Amino acid sequence: MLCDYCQKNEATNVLKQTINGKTKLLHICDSCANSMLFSNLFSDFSINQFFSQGLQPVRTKKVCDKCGMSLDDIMSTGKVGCDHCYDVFSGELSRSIEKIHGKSNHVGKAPRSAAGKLKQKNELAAAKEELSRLIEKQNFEQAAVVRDRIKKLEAELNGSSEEVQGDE
Amino acid sequence: MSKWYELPAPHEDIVLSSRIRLARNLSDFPFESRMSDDQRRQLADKVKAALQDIPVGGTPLSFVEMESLDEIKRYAMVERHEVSREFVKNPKNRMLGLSADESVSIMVNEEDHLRIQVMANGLNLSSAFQLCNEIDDALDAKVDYAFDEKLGYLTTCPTNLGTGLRASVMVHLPALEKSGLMNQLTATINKLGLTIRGTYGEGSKVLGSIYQISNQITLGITEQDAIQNLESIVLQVIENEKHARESLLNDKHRLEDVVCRSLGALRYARLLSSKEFFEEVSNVRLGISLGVIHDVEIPRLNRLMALTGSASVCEREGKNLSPQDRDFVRAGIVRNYL
Repeated sequence: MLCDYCQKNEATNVLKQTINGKTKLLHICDSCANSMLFSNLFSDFSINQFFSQGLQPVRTKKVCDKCGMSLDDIMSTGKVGCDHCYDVFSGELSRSIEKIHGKSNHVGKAPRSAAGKLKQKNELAAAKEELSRLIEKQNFEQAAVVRDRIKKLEAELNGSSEEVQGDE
Repeated sequence: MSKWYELPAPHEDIVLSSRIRLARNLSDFPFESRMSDDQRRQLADKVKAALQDIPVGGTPLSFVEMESLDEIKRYAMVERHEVSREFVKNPKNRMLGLSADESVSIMVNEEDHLRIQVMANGLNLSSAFQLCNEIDDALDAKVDYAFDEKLGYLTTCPTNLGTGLRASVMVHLPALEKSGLMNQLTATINKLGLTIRGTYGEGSKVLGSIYQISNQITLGITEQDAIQNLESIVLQVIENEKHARESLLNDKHRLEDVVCRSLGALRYARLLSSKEFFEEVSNVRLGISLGVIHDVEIPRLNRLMALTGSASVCEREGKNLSPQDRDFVRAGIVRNYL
């Protein structure tokens, strides 16, 4: 039987994968098993990714325009080449990242460069929650005040993101 | 100045040390695997300049070019947990910032541009984090970190994304080991998003019943929650270990025999291999905690462990020694201390 992954070599490994109670058998050759299973990052993630999305990421020609890293390099080493790789390969990496951590959004500390914006975003999210609470209680007078605050915060956030884009 | 591991500490009978490590990268350089030698040097200079006037514990950090140290000295630092094994394997263009008490070490050009590490003795994660966080803030004021609002601090390996924080606690679990409960404990810890490993971290052997427990997940969890989770699990492990230790007291004479023989071996042996040393120290540590041994204190054992690694023994003698010579020197050091 040919390897389910590269479709070139004879499959010599059988992997049993159970996701949400559904079990699949995967037949993989030694070289794919080595590059995927034992790279320190992707363990079984790359296989999950491949079979759930029907992608063949190792074949992708895309490279990072800042550091020259290809997805193939990332998959085989488990390491990215620079901060920009996370933008360039965000589609390919996001599922793996979510599988590693179970979450996809940072909630911890932020450096000074990002702290102001994050604070505004959190304020905006809190204001939106407050608005829906006030509407539920039919407190429209207060809701109008909060709505104005939301507009102001959104304008500030959009303004600052334009500034960031302008810097680049 | 006393080293951090020589001071008494909370839960010191079971917890040897706590460690906080932050992974950070600068946005104006590619990550480690794509850097040229020139860029590594530039980065080291930049970080050194930024760190020079940040006092840690009242005294400035000292800086060491890893290439300037011979192999023995470098591996002795690994044995004292000051740097990672990965960091000393290839010392080229790698720099270390170290505090006088050796509790703070900042590795430059490791897998990430910066690995800021703070060690504390006993169970002391929050104070280690506080210091680590202060150093991080001070650096943040002088360099631009690679950061993304969604993914947090950007790291070479996606397993560190988010907070970039690894918190770990080194625990001594001889009684749980003896009662055959380690497999069960390992499975439980893994289910909780934490990991338990050998004495020197990933892929290392367990020496003298010493294990490392650390957090795995860094994205979607705050630094404080990650630390609190780990601490609460470690407190439960401590309770379990204490419980298992009490049952060892049921056969008090056997326990006293094992513990006192180990102390005897340490006090009188003429040749001590590293493995035997760890095993005997493990028994003596257990004996101190159960009140069988009264004339040796835990910090003294910690100091001994820092002095008697294979590379540390060679460092002390100023030359490379054969395994048998090392065992002889080690036995001598131990006799002097006990």
